[in-house]
Amino acid sequence: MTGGPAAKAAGLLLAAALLTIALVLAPRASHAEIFEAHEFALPNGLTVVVVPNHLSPVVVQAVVYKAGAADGLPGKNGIAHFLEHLMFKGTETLAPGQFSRDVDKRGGSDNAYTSQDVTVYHQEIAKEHLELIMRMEADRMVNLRLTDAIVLPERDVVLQERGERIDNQSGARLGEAVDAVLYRNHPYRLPVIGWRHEMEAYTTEDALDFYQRFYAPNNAVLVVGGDVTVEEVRRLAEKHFAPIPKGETVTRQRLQEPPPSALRRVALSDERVRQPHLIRSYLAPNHRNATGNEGYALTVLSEILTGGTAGRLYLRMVIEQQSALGIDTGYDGGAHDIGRFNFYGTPRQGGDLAALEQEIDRQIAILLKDGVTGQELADAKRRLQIATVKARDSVSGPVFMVAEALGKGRTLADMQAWPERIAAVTAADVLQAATQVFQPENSVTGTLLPRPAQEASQP
Amino acid sequence: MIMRLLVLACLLVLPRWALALEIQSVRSDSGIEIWLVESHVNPIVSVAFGFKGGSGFDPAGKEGVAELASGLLDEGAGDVESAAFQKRLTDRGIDFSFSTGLDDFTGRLRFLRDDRDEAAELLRLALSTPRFDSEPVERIRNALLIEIAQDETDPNSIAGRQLEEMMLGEHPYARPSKGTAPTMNAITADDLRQFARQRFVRSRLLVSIVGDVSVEDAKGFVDRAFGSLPQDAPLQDVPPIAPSKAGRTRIVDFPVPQAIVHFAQPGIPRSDPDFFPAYLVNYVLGAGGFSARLMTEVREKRGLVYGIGSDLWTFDAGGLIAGQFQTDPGKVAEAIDIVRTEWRRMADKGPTQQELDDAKTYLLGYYPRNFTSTMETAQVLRSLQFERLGIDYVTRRQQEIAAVTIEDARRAAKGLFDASQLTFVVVGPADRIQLPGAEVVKAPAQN
Repeated sequence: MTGGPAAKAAGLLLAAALLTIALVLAPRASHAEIFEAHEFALPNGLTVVVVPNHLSPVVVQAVVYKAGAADGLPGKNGIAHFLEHLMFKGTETLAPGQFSRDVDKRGGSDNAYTSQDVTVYHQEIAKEHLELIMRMEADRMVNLRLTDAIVLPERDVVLQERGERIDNQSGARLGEAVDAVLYRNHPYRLPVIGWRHEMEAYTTEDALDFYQRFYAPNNAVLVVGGDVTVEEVRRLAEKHFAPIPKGETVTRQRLQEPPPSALRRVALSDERVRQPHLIRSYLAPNHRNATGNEGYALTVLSEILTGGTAGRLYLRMVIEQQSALGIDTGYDGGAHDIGRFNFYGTPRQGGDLAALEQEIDRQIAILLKDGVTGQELADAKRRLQIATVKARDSVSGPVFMVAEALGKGRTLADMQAWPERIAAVTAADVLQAATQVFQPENSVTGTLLPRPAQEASQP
Repeated sequence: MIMRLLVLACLLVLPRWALALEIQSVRSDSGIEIWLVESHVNPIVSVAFGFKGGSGFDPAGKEGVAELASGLLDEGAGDVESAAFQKRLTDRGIDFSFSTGLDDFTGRLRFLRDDRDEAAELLRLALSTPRFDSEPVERIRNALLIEIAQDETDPNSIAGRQLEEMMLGEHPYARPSKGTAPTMNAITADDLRQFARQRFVRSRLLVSIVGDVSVEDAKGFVDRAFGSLPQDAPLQDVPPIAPSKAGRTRIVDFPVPQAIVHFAQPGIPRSDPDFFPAYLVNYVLGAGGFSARLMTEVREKRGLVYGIGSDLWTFDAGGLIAGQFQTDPGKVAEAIDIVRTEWRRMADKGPTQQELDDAKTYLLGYYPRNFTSTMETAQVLRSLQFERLGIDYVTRRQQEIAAVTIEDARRAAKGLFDASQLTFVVVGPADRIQLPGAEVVKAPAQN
């Protein structure tokens, strides 16, 4: 009776699981593209973006704070995520849990997620209730009220969450280990949810400190999508958000990475693992700091390598050589400070993880020697452009794309230029970006293996 | 007078928006019925279709055949081999996927408006002349065998399988949809061809289309894609389920840091006249997000879990009420105790008037959120077709929910929710779980 995803996705799913240690409710937003979006700012510094979409009488609201796990203080790692939980615990005028109850009883949903760079609060509800969710979201931007009686049980909840999402999942534990060595100094090395021993010591004051430091209109972006007009949103935002005073100017102060010096490996064996798995991560340029179009070239490269079943690695390793069950790559250029290019591989049953890794290395060497063909480039670019058209067929998707991009320091204009930037990528750009990124000392290789039989019986 | 009051009550709770969803029922030239919504906002078309007969109908000894077939229908058909078929899909960005439930086997296509003919042609080939060549068959079989092996050590899968076996015994619904390694290995290309011939027939076909397409083009699409399928083929129905009322508790001894708990009791099928009262009662108890009683008592007040919920599982052949949570092994007993207490409290007194009203406004207000993309809309329509709810359901549903009274809800709560019938499965380290009277078993043999 237990249903399964399409078999083809098996390896990719495991790969995705490794990525999702970052507490995702996050949509796997592929790319931004040209959709109708209007931006304005309030005098207190709040940026507002409206993304009209009249598919159904529904609105989606997201408030993104430019503060995430990587903005926490040493020794209090994960506090951004803990505060995210506590933001549902009431204000001067709203009882604990009332926010969610008021949204629920109107057929809406509300939730939030935290990543390294941002914390996002979001709701989806019938359009007539937009003012309600905007009023409540504005309220908790400044009026949060916390007591130990409310905070301490929630600390148990996030500990349970860690158990469920990380400790019980060997793939997530490997991801945590890869992050910890890929970044040698930058706080991206620490888990978004926190280390258990630090979480156990969180106090009410820790959460409030983070709240007071980062939660202010000038450090946030309000995005509203769905069956609305710019005028409606402007009127309501002026009514509910404009009265909030501007906070102090916030700058992200994070430790920076030293130059790369050595390739690294991490290995995790667990008796519950039935299928070996490999992740290879390279530090890469991100969109925000790129000097040229490296980010777009790496996006195209990932599509060339593993874009669905047409990708080069998929055809070679899964179809021709029949060595891999699944092979995937992903480029994340959206992160505020550092980009990342990942490979994920799963051998066929009984297959050899070392051989799989050698083949990835061989394919990278071929790529760096010969580059990509004109046909591969054209096919990948066309597939990416079709994906941007399909991304419009959603009310919430564009809202989250805008919230993520602006929350991580990019601009709306930058997002809207995506199709042209992709169209402009040349084969030489791809080769140059690949050569820059695929250097061994930029990388960490993580392996997930079954524990050998002779060890399995040991206590 | 009573009638008037009732109507007035409906008006009070019905949301103010009107769903601008014009669903047309259209019949193609060859006689295939389509539920169609024209939406010309984006140049995109979504098609959701299904055939009655999912993995619950797999023949004994060949369990997993529906799952295997669902992974192979885009791997070559007619004269087009796997790689060429995939290339035709990816070149135009045609989303093309199949999946199986217990009762139905479904497919989804999404494509740009101008690629309609190519999408229809590929679908025609896939359904009427799938190749099932050995390379793709062995590749997809291998992937499923790996999933089967992983499920053996995944505590959630273990809990799910044990609960299904305890609740449903030998019923086909209790079999894993992917089968077991021996049954997966026993499936031949002939079995797959037999599956396609038997299941893909017009008498059990349902189709919904949403997007940038005209009535004429929609008709042309279905005639091309489905017109050449046989009219009918015999398919034996699944017998009704007889869920256990014994209320047993089982611990599966398994070394994980956090224990996983699944629970269930008998439920009702979608066709039960008390479906909406029962649905509303369960919403108050366990499905209403942070507002639900279980979430409030187990998570918000005591911090015992990250999440907890219960759902109505409805099938053609019956239903279950089922839920799950995870917690520290040492806290399992306390959490189970609270679940039982809340179950009993709901059966005895039902929801409060306020809780019922909030649940009703939730369900009423939720509805437009089903229609925020073309594929989502098409899939909702296909499920309405599958449940035989009628094309007027979208409006009728709102009236039926609005009409549920507190007496209806109390009757459903009392008649349906029974704490003594709750069966629990706990997967975790048995020596740290204190549940007197529970049966303790070893985790199933691992390979």
